[in-house]
Amino acid sequence: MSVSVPDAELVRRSRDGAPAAFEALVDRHYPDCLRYAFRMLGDRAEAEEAVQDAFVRAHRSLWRYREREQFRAWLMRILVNRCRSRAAAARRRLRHLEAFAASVDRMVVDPQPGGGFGRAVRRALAALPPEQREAFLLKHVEELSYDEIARITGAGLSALRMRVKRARERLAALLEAYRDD
Amino acid sequence: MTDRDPLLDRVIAELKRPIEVDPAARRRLLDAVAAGSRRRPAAALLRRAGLVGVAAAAGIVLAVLAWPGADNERDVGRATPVRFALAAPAARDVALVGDFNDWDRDATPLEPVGTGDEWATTVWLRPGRHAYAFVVDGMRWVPDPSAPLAPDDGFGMPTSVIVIPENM
Amino acid sequence: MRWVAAALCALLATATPLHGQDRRLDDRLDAETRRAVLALVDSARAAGLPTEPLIQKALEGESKGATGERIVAAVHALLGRLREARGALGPTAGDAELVAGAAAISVGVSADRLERLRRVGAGASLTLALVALADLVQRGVPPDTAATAIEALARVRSGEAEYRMLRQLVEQDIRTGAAPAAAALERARLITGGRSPVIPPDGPPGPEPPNVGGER
Repeated sequence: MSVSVPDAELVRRSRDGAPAAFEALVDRHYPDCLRYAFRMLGDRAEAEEAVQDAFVRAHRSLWRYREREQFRAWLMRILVNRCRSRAAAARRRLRHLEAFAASVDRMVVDPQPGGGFGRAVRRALAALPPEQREAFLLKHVEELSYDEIARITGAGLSALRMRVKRARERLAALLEAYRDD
Repeated sequence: MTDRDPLLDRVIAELKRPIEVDPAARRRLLDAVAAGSRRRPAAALLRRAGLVGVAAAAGIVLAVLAWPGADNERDVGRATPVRFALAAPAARDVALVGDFNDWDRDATPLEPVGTGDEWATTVWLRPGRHAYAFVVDGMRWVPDPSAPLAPDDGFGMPTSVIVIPENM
Repeated sequence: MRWVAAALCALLATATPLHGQDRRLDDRLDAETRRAVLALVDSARAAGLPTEPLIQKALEGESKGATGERIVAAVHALLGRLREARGALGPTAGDAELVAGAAAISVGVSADRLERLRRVGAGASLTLALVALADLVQRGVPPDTAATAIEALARVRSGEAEYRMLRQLVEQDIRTGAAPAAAALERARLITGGRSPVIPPDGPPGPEPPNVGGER
C-alpha cells in the first residue's frame, strides 16, 4: 500500500497473484477515475459502474499492459472506452429520441444564477458535445498531455486541440453570467 | 489556448474537486475484480436507493407480446398479454404485484430467464390504468424506472403505472 | 323457466365481484379497518363512482404493510379525489380516467386543469395524458406547468410514445441540472414540433411561474 511503490511494480505483483497490490492500484487511481467518469456521464451510479468495469477489465488485461506506458494513462484509456460505451448505451435506450438530442444544448445554456456555480458548471459541461467534454476533461481536469490523450482517444493531435479550444470557448460563453461573481 | 481566463480557471478548479468515494462502491469493485466479473449497470442505482444488500438491477423491460392464443384459463375477453421483466442477478425471488392481482405477493412470481440475471413473467391485463411494482426477496419494493410513477398515497413505497389502451 | 335461470345467472354474475371484494378484504384487513373501508366503498357506489379502485387501494396498503388507520385515510382520500375527478372530467369519464384524474389531483393538479385537459385532448387517450401529468409533477414540474406541457401533447393527439418521450427527456434534463419547469415546456415544444402552442397557464398565476428557457 505504500505510495512509494511505483505503479509498474504494483502491476508486476498483481500479475504474480497478489490481490493487495491491485487493491493498492485501485486506491491510488479510483478517485481520479471516479471524477472523470462522473464529470463525463453526469450520474454517480453510472460513473461508479463505469469505473468498476474499467478496473475489472484492467485486472483481466494486466498481461497486456506495457511498462513504457504510464499505468494511469493505460487505465484511463479503458475508462474512457467504458464511459463511451455507457453513453452510447444510454443513447440507444433513447434512440427514438435522437432527433431531439440537439436541443439539449439549448436547454442547458440558460444559466441559473440562483443555482450555484457548481451546478451551473455541471449544466454547461453537459451541454458540450461528448468528444469536446472528453477532451476538455482529460486535458484540463486530469492534466494529461495531448500525446497521451491522442493515445487514449484515438484522435489526432490537431483535432484534439480544436476540441479543447471549442470546449473552452463554449464553457466560457455558457458561464458568462458568472464571470463577475 | 495560451490565454488564462479567470472564469475558466474557476471552472477547472470546480471540476477538479474530488468526488467523495463511497466505501461500499470500492468494496463492490474489489469483489467484482475478485470474482472476475462485472455487475449489472443498474445495480448501484438500487443500492443507492437504500436497497442495501440487493445486487438486483432495475433494468426493466416491459413489452407487449403478440397475442399467443388463449393457452390458459385467464379471462382473455379484452385482455392483452404484457411481459414484465426485471434484471435482478442476485435476487432469490421476484414477484409482481399490482391492482391486477390484488397486490398479492404470492400470486405472480417471476421466473429466472436464461442465465438467471433476468426475471420475467407475462400477465394478461385488461384495458385501463394499472398500478404495479416488483417485490424483490419478499420485502424490497422496486418501481419500474422506465414507467410513469404513481403518486404515493402515504404508504411510502414506490409504484409504477401502465396504461393498456382500449384498442390494443 | 329458462329465462328465470338466465336472469338468476346474470344476477349472480353481477353480484360475484362484490362478494369477491368482501372476501378479499375479509382475508386481509382487520375488522375495524374493513368496516371503515366498506363504508367508503358503499359511499362510492351510492355516488356512482367506481368501487374497485378503493378496494385495490386498501389491498395495496395491506400489501405494503400500512396500518389500518393509514389504509382508511388513503381510501378516504381516494374517494374524495374520485369525486373531484368526476366533477372535472364529466359523467362520461371511464373508471381508468377517473383513477388517473384522481392521481393527478393528489399531486396538486387543479380540477380546472383536468377539465381543460379533457376539452383540449378530446378524442385522444385522456388516461395516458393524466398518467403522464401526474408523473411529471412527481419529477418536480409544478402542476400548472406540467398541465401546460401535457395539454400541448394532448392537443396533437399524442400517444404512448410521445408521452414516454416527454417523460424520458424531462428526466434526462433534470438529471443534467435543468429546471424541471423549463425542461417540461421546452420538451413539449420540441415533441409537438410547433404544431401545438405551449402556452403557459393563463388566469391567476400558479404557485411557481414556469421558468422558460432564455431563447424565447
